[in-house]
This record gives sequence, structure tokens and C-alpha cells, in this order.
Amino acid sequence: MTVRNLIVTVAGLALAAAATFAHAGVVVVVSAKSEVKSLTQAQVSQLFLNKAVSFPGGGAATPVDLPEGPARAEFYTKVTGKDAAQLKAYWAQLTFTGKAQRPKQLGSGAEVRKFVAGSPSAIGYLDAADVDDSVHVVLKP
Amino acid sequence: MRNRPSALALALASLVPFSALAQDAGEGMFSFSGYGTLGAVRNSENHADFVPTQGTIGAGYTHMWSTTPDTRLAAQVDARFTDKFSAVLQVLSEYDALGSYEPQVELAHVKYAFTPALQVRAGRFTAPIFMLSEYRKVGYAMPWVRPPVEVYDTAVTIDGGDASYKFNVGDVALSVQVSAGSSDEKTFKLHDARTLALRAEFGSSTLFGSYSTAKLDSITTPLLALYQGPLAPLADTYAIEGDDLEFASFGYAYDPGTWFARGEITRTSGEVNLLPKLTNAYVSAGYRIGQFTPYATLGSVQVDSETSIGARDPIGVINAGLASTNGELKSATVGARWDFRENVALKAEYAHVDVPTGSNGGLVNRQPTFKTGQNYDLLSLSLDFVF
Repeated sequence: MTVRNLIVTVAGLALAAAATFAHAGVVVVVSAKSEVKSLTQAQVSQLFLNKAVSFPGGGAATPVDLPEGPARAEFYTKVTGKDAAQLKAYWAQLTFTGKAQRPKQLGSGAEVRKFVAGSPSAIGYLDAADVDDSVHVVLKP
Repeated sequence: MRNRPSALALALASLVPFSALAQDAGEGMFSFSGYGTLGAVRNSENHADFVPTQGTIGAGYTHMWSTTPDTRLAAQVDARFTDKFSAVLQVLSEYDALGSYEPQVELAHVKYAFTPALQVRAGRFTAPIFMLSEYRKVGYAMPWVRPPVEVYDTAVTIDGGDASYKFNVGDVALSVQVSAGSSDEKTFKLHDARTLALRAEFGSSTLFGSYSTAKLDSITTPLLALYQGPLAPLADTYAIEGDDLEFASFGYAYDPGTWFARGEITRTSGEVNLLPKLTNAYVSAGYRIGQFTPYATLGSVQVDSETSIGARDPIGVINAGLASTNGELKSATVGARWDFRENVALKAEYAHVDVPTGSNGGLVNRQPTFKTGQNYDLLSLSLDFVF
């Protein structure tokens, strides 16, 4: 291996590592004050698709969305098995029957964290790097 | 009340300021959305027309390629007054049973959520008699050009009220919905229409069941004059005023994301002897490959009641009526959906319809030259969008 190749390889590894840190994977969070300690992937899927409207313990659940982007796409693909186009079609089913609207969309990870931290009924998802002790991770999909 | 001009005028008048507000208000009280389909279908049978659910003309005799069966445009305003109190208004233009595209109020109801789990609605909504009945017109929401016509052959707009309750049993999410009201679908009217629908979701599975009863009126009036002279003894059996209809359905869907399989079976019965007792069913499966979703569907319409009473009808009027209700068929469809850009899908499907002896295959506008028991093929194209 030439020096030049080595440099390229090391630079590539560094970039990959940086990308890993910047995007550490999406996690599902509730308020640190919530009594919900953990949820299954199926339970989270039901809540975000309006199939269920309360936590397994019985309390009302208010899901919130991140803006469109890699974290949102990763969350929905991993948790509901649906890509962006399938989700559009799914929400068209509920919207145009007057049954339900899709979760409220907040402006950023920081806004989702603040909203979830402040409301015991809220449930959201965040890039793991955005988690602090105001929220509690209930699922790492 | 589907035709009442005041409701339409009110709806249209209220849409304009609502939409302006919706654009200003962003995530505020009002939101504006809509859906539509541009569709074209070709029928190989040219002595009768293919019409999926309603309308007087379609593909076949009237037009080789017809755009009336699937083309529609709808606009909707959602108003959220408080967390608990909201309203929906949806106005739809499609080719209707009276042969016009005049916009109709498809949905107009207020909703009150006592809790997120318990909601009641009053106004106009769609009765949940099929698994997909509430969005049967939203092409974008489904993989096919149209819901399988073998099952989705009737409109079910109700003016009345409903209540729904959602709860969990372990990992199973359950929902119970009851509705009651009346329906004016132009070609027929129902009153005391009641539906109980149950839905259970677990993992990637959905189970659905519904049971409905309704009383049929108004289409009978012109028929009553027939029951005179030799037909008088048949009046009790074949008059229809206020007779009960019964309808039951059961469906199952499995959709883990990369593929889906679903099926529904419905049974129509009741006291209306001039209407056939039917068992309708379909099964469909598809596979998602990136932007493409190829699918295949099998459908069946089976008439469970007699299609002739023989010599009991000495002048043949009842027998002709009963024979015309024979729409038995078996169909096989292959097609694909292409999600080629955001909020728009393009679909194409080809169906072969196998028609047994004596059946009209569900075709309408049958000409004197039309022969029963003839197979036919359909080629359908659609562009579906939401906004």
C-alpha cells in the first residue's frame, strides 16, 4: 500500500466515523417524567400510525414528528416498515375520511426534545446524539 | 340529502375563505388538502358499459376509452377548533349516477373527542361497511387503479351519526365503530341504516368485520304499479317498500412493508326478493420494489338467490327483472403502481373477466345486441394525486 492510498483510506475511515457520530441512530423518547419505561416496536408503530391512541398503561399518547429528513425516514422505515411514499398513501387513507391527521410536525430535534420533555403524554423520536436527561429512551429500533 | 343545493352552496361558499385562512394560518385552525384521479379504461365488450360503482355510461358501448369511471377531484378543509372539537368538509366532483360532474358534498361532519379514544361524529360521513370503504375513492391511498369492483360495488354515504372507541388488549389495537343514519344515493334510498364495525391490528396484520342493516325505499314506487292482474299474487313477495337489507363483511390484510396480501368477503342478503343475494370476494397481493408495486388480484361475484321464478310469473316481467340481477363473474387482474414522484402515482392494470352463462358480468347500459355469458377484458390507466 502506497502512502497516498493509506492517507485516502484513513481519511475515509475518519469520515465514516464522523458520520457515525453525527448520526448515531434514531431512538424513541418520552418525557423523563413519564411512567412509560419501555415500548415494543409494534406499540410505537401503532401509536405513530394512529392505530392506538394511548400507551399500554392507559395514558393518552400524543406523537410528534421531526421534519422530513434522514432521521424521520429511518424511524418510519425501522418502526413501521413504511417508506415515505407508503406513509403518504397511509395518511391519505385517514385524512380523507375525516378520521385522523398525521402527527404534528415540529421544527427540529431540539423542539421535539423540548415538547416531549414538557408533556407526559408526548412521544417522539430523536437522533441519539440529541438525547439528554429531560427525556427517556423507550425504544432503540 | 346528497343533492340538496343549499348544502352544496354552503360547502362551496365556505371552502373559499377556509382555504385562504388555511394558507395564512400554517399549523393553525384550518388545513386544506385534496385528492384526485385522472383515469381511462378500455373495455373489450362493446355492447355494454363497464361502470365500477355509479354512473350511467362508461367504457365499452359508449366510449372505447372512457374517462368517466375513475376520474374525480376532491377538496377538503379540516377545522380544528379545540383539541376535542373539529370539523371536516369535503367536496367531490365525479361522474355520478345522474350523468354529471356536479360537485357533491362527500363529507361534512363535526367531531367531538371525549377522549383521544372515544370520538363521536354527526353529519355526513362514509359508513364503514367495507375494510376500505371510507377511502374507496382516494386512488392515491391504495395500490390498485380502483378497489376491486367485485366487492366495492356500492356507495355508502350516510347522513347521521357515529361513535368510535379504540382500546388495546395486550399488543392488539382494537377499534369499534357504530353508525346510524340514512342515505340518498340517487338510484336508491336507505333509512335506518345501521352498521357495527370492528377492527383489530396486531403486528403487520389487520382484521376487519362489519354487520349492517338498512331499510330500502323509493326505488319501489314505479314497480308497485306492476303488481296487478296476473302478478297480484306476487306483490307480497316481490314488492320492496321498506324491506330490510342485511350486509356482512370480513377482511384480513397483512402488510409488513415490502409486500402486502389482503382479502375481503361480503354477503348481501335480506327481504328484497328483486335484489340478488350475493357473496362477493377478492384476494390481492403485491410486492414493493423501490418505486414500483406490481400486484395481482382475483375477484368473484356469486349470486345466491334464484334468477328466475319460472311460470309463477306468467308475463315474464319479474323473470326479466331477476335475470338482469345476474352479474356473476370471476376476474383476474394484474397491474402495477409507480410512485414516480412525491404525491403522485401512476397505475396500469389489465383484467380478464370470466362471465358464466346467463350473467351480464356486472356491465350496465346493455344494448339489445348485448349477449350474456360473454367474457371481457379491461385495460385501466390512472394518475392519482394528493395535495
